[in-house]
Amino acid sequence: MLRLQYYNGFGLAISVASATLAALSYTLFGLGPLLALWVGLLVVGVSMVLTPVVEGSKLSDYALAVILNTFENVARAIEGLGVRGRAVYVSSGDWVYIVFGEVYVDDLSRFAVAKGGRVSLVFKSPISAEHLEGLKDPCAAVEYVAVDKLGIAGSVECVDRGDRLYVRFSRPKVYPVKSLERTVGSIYGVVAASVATLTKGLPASIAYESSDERTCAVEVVVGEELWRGAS
Amino acid sequence: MERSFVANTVLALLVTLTASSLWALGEGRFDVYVSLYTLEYLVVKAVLRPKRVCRDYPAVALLAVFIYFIARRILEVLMA
Repeated sequence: MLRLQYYNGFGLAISVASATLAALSYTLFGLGPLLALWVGLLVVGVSMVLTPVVEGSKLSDYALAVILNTFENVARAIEGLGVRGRAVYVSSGDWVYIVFGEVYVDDLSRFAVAKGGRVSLVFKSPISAEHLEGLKDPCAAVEYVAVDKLGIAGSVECVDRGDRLYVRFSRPKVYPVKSLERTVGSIYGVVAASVATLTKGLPASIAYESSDERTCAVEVVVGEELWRGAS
Repeated sequence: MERSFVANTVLALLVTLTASSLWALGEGRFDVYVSLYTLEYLVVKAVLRPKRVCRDYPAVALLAVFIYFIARRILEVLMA
């Protein structure tokens, strides 16, 4: 859960004070401008309480390069082993697993599952529930992870359509690796799909990913059938 | 992150400005104030897109209250 910071505490104090004054005003004067003033301040206070306050720093270029090289190795392993299929992001507890291949995997702790000449590989996503700090809204969580924590994008535009999540990362800090886009998804795709899986509690898959020097657009599709479809 | 703080500050300014302006104009109807708060909150939400730790419950609550006041006004007109 998100810890209560000073900012949220100040908001809570405004909320409690204005709610008390609103009750008092209603008792003494009924519905009127004075009550409206306290209600307005109550709205502001609640808004402050619900605003997440971020602590911590963004990753350095050095740390990002290390992560990207590790990511590229995943793509190389998938391509080298000749595994076909698409990546499905599945949550298990606080973790997200990226299952890549055509075979249904019932035990996510296994790295590889082979059946009838077909292979599926299971990777652990670098994003887990712990990184979301209790955020439940997928768009807020994507921005929190990508902009505030990892610092891999300047800003994020996001639309949540229930079964689909559209995310556009502006001013990307790292150029997506093409080999990754073809396999598990770029670091942007991995962040968007992992967050979608964690916040919605359903399997997710990257339906579309496109990038240039200024933006990286990702479309994530969410639904139970994605995982059943792999069986 | 900064955007969320800006959104809260803008909202606080708008609410204060609304309350003081309507008060100065002699407006005494509570529903007028709340309707304007709702409008301001939703505009700030749409333009600045502040982040929330959960669903945006204040927006839902304000919209529900706004719909209640509108429904009451419509009923008043129909009953008159």
